[in-house]
Amino acid sequence: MLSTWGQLAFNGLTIGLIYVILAAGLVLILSVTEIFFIAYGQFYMVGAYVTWYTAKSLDLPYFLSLVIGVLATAALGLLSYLFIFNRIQYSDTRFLSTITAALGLSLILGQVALLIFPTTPQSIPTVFHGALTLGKITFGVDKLALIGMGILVTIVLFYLYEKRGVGRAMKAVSLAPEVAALQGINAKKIYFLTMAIGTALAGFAGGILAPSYNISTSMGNNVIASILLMTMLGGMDSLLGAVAGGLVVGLILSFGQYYLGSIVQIYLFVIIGVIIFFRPNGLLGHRTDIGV
Amino acid sequence: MKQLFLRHARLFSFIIAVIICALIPLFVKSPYYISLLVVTIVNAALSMTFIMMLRTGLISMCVAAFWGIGAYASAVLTINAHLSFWLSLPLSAIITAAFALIIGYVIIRNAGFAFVIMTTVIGMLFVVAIGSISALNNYNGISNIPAPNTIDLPFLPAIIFDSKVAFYYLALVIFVIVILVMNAIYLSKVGRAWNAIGLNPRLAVSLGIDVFRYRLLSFVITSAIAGLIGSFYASYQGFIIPTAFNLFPKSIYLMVYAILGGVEYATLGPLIGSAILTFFPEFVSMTQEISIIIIGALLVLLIIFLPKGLLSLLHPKTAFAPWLKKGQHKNKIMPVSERPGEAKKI
Repeated sequence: MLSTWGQLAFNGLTIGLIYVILAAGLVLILSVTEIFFIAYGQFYMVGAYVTWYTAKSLDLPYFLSLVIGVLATAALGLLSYLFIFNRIQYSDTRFLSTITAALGLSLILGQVALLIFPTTPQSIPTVFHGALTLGKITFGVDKLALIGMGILVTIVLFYLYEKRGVGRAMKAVSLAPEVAALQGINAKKIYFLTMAIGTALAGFAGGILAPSYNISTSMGNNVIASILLMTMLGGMDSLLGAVAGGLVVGLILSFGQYYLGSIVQIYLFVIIGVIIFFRPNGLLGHRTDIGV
Repeated sequence: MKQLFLRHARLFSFIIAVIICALIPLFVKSPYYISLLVVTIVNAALSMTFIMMLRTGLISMCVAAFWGIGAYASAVLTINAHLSFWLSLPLSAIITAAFALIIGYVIIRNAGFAFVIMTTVIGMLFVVAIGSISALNNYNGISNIPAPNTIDLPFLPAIIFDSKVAFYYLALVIFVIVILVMNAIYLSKVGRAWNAIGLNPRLAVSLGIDVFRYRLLSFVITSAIAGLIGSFYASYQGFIIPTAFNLFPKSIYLMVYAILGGVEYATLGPLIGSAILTFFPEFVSMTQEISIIIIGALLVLLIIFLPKGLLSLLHPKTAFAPWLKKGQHKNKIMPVSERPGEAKKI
């Protein structure tokens, strides 16, 4: 019993860290650029597949292909911002426009991936072998490495966001872009930077997932509902909320999938619906300008 | 006579259009094209409900999910409870409205990003929810849904629903009723309140409009209409599977229909958008995989170049996107008054 729980908690922590990175990137994009970026799940899939392709077909070492995957995803995010969102973000109908453009982008990316990549689930051989055992619980070294990389990236992200000038600039732009511009912050540059960092985080999450789990072309659509629930739970403008939400949801999904099956997502949705009924900004969010 | 026609041009053109639509089956004999017409009508009606919610500033991504609730309610009522189709049609609309009332009461209070996020999650989880209920046959769906019962009319031949043409006329009748009801609501006090909320919710509050109640009302009414259409669709198809009501791509398609026609045209826009996008892939015999890419690309291009839809080409000066004009938006950051939560003008 206890060993099952320990194993489930370990697996939940592994998946939870993937969710933490994904939710952090989505919260950055949502709060700073104010684009409802539903194509985010597809960027996660693109990162995983670029890493898979460079590692398996081009035979590059894993860490190099991980870097290539992250850079490719960030470049794709930048291009999409440059050619699509940059043009519509300043129009009168920007709320509807950005949502629908992101939906269209999501359809295109998902379907193109379905056409050019193999339809069966894929994975790449891991560079970390072996496993530690503690009692009956198995800690795979590859998953421990995943947890380590995830925590490292989260710490770097927090350092950038909380301690450095660029993070303060992001916060300022997310609060009031015009006032931020008056203080000498280049708001457009911050939008581009946020988009690049956000999508790079998605690509990174996909890249570190690829050795330990199977990747498929539908992974982006499968995960986006959970990420959106996490951002609702933690608050849409709180990075700390994204981390907490990611870990909690990862653990709940891990235990729930084992004991209840896929219906756990419905229970999770109902619970989060009750929470946001009483705390409309999520558990750690501050924003009050949403709604009337 | 000419005076009368000009004064009621909208009404007369509507009547003429309905008569033309009613005469179509006399000339088009192929059941395939008739079925495409029925699909067009179903999609246009659903897309109109999307626009109705948009009028109040709500961007709903779960129209297809409520459509599915209506379809499943109708299937259960006709198969398990042995009710007649004519009774289960309004009942499934009421059931869907009840679901919408409960869900909307929780999620409409935050009508910005939170509403979009929650409706997206509902749209995605609807399939999971239906798929994990074994009483509804999980992911395999329900088949053998009975057709509507025969109507016996005095002095006239009975109406039997055994061909596509009969279903086409039923769809047309439901569609005309939906259009009339919607336009009546738009012209009433409720519709004016919705418009005010869509233009500026804060100003609407200051004028004494209860924004939450009116938004909830629009959510419930549109869901009831979607449920009605779902009940018809279940009976027309004879089978339903949960994946047909998914967010990807059904709800997105409904948005594309509305945006292609033009979201400012509540009736004509969805009809034109749905007609183009239903018939065009069939005429060039495009596969499903390619058509999803084309529709995604079309959505992005429309938003970038022609954000007000095809019908806005009637007024070419304001039709195209502002960034196409030189010198505008060069130094614009983001106006504070146009931040998303406030939904200035959608």
